[in-house]
Formats: sequence, structure tokens, C-alpha cells
Amino acid sequence: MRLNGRGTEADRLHSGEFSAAVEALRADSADDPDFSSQLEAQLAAEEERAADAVALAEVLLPMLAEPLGRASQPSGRPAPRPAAAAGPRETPGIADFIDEMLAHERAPRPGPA
Amino acid sequence: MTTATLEKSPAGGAAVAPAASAPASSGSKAAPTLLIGLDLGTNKSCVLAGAPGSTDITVSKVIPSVVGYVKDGIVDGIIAGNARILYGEEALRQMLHVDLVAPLAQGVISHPGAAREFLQHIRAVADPSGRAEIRAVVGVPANAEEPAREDIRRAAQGAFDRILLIPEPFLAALGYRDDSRIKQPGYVDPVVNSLFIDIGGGTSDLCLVQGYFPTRNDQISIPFAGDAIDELLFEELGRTYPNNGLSRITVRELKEAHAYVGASRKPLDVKVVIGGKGRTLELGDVIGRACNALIDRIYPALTSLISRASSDSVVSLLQNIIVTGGGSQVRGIDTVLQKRLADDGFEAPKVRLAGQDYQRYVAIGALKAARAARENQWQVLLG
Repeated sequence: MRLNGRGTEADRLHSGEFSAAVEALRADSADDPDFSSQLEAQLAAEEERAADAVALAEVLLPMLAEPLGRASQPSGRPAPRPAAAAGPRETPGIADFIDEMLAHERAPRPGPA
Repeated sequence: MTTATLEKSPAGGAAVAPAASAPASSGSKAAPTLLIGLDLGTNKSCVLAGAPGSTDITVSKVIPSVVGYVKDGIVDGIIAGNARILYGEEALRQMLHVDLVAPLAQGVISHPGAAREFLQHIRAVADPSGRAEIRAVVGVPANAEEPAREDIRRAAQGAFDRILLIPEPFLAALGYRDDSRIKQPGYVDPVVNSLFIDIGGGTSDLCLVQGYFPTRNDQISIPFAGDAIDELLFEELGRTYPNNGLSRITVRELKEAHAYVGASRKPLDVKVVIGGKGRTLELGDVIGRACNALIDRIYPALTSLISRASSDSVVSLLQNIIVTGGGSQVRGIDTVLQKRLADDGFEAPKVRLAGQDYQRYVAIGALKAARAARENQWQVLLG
């Protein structure tokens, strides 16, 4: 939902129904000392899996888009780096620069070596 | 609290939301919008403000980045209005009566509480009525990592309503650009092909600006700038003139008055007052060594960025190397860098100083960016 720009809705869901469900689970398993850590691990694994899927999609989409003849690029992909001009040329507007910046920020970063 | 960027949201971030999903201003009467361009510097911050849809600048101030918490037991009336917190020049004027806290160190927030107070002060300076919806573009050091950005967003909650964080050297290029001359033949647009060296208090930021938004590879941030020179000076003055009694603030003032790079400018006799008595110190070597350390740090980064420029752009790039920020006031920095490049065989390099507005270019660029930003590019700060 956040990747679709529905951050507020996602936050509401996370702090509302989702948190309530997690709390209910914890309450049901209060006598299991390992349950909480298992739940945390499972949630972290799911979060990582979702992030991996998003990263994979961001890599695959441009590759698929070309053969499919799509003109537009997915918004999450950073704009390709154009070659700098040797002399004056038409430059994009400031808002376009900001778009590029935001695309860079959204792009997955390489993990630590 | 959740979310940190427009769409991707690491847990634990400041409460920000995509602009598209933000609620409209509350209340029956919509608040006026005020745009702010902010260079949030380690030592000095520059704030410019203006209304959207115009080119007017309603507020333009350079404010020392310092918060002064009034000490306990100060007699009533010593501090105007018996204020508990002072900011900027006022805090420095009352340094005997306040605990001075710098909200930033090396370009990033080091005291979150003081940073929050300082940004609230910035807001009050820009919008004394306190009624406006504030949208601020804030400069961040080149290559600032997400935690540092997140700290700024957190500190800005309650001060600003919407925010955009943009690397400082890119904002400096936008600010330096003379928009009225872009179409003129012969005008070299710094946004098209230039290399900016922005030397501040905490960091020196170098950035290739080549007609597209600089990638991480196009920017280098070095945690060595004005403060580091102050520290070197302070230590060396302590060795050369033991028990000199000079405060760090005095040492900074000495640097700002006499900083130079290149060959020794000895003798450089400076009169200071120590223990109430006038004394002349010879500072030529001390200042030269401290300031030349800056060149030693910047130069490898400069050549590294030049090597990353494409071969068909590098010749004109070498003609457009611009030094800005407080470090541009170090005498000889342009000629020394230019000579080193030439001596190393770079083709006809030309290093220039940004000029008298060196303290304002980042903020000017930030205000331009604020005026140009699309509605859905702003991050909404909740709370």
C-alpha cells in the first residue's frame, strides 16, 4: 500500500487492525515464552520477503517493459543517467530534477558487502 | 510513528505521509502557504521565505545555528522577557548566561531536542503569525544517509507542514544559477555542467552537476570543513602559545579574518586580548597549516569527481568549478586548487568563487526548488 502511495491508509491499518491482531495472538500465547520472539522473526522475514519482491519487480519491470513496447517506465525506477552535454543544452525543470531525486531515493540500495 | 520517505517507509520513521494522501488544511479558513528555503548549517543557517507563485523573498536571514538554554538562577530582567531559550545571535550575545548547544555537528543533527527548538525558531522567524502552512526545502549534506535525513524530518515535525530534503551542493548550483540569463548566448548554466565545492562548517560537499539530478556517485561529502580547521588552529595555538586563554569562538573569528591557503603568508601578526592585556601573536604558519589541511582533503575528492565525468563533458566541466560556502572565503582557495589541477595536467582548469552571496546560495536554491516542487513531491509531516 505504501508503494502505491497509500501510506496513511497503510499506517492506519498497521496501527489499527494489524496491531490488534498481533496483540490478540500474543495474548492467546502468553504461556509460550518463545512465541513473541518467533512472531517477531516471522514478521521480520515477511517484511524482508516483501522488500525483496519489490526490488525484484523494480529490476524485472524495465526488462519486461521493453519487449512489450511500453513507453513509460515504472515510477520506482531511477531515471537512466544521461550523458552530460559538452555545451549548453536544454535542461529539465527543477520539478523534473526532484522527480529524479525521489526516484533515486526509492531505488533499492545495494546491501553491505 | 511510521514512514520516512514518500512511498517506502522503514519502520520507526518520522510521521510523514505522501502528499497525495495528506488531508487538506484543517479549519474553516485555509491557512496561507509560505515557502521556506533552508540551508541548515552546522555553524550558520540561512533561511529565505516567500509566497508561492511569486519571486518575492519576504524573509532573508543568516542565523548562527545555536540554541542557548538560560542557566538556572539568572536574575530577572537579565534576559529579555525572561526567556528560557535563546537562539542565534541573541544566544551568542548572552553566552555567559546560557548553555550553548549546537543542534548540528558535521552537517547532521547531533542534538535532536535543540534541533527541534531551532527549527521552531526558524518557523517563527519566517512566519511570525504562526498561521501559515509551511513548506520547507531543506539542504542536506551530499550523500546524507537515511538516518540523518530522518533526524531532520523528526526535528521538523511541528515546525513545518511539508518538507523536501535535497543535497546542498545541488541546491547551491540552483541558487547560483542566474535564471534571467539562461537563454542568453554565452551564459554557462551551472546546472548544465559544473562541479560545486560547498565548504561549510561541518562538511565539505563536492558535487557534479551535469543537467540531471546528481546520483550518489556524483557527490562526495568530507567531514572536514570550517570546524575541523578551527580545531586544528585551537590545538596548534595551544601548543605554540600555551595558556593563551583564547576561546574557540575567538579562534573561529581569527580564522574567519585571516584564513588563507597556499604558500606561507608569514608574518601575519594578529593582536589579541589575553587576560585583559593586548598581545601580538604571529599566526602565519599556524593558520596556513590548518587551512592547507582543507586543500589536502578536498583535492583528492575533486580529482575523483572529475575522473567520473564523461570524456565529452570534462573539458567544459574543468572550466566551471565553483567554490561556495564559508570556505570560499579562505584566501587563495580558488587559485591554489586551480594551480594544483593545472600542475597535475588537467586541461585549462578554472576554479571560481561563488561570490558575495556564498552564505545564501543553498537557501536560494532551496526556495527555487520549493517554488517549483509539484504538489505530490512534498512529504507531509504529521504532528
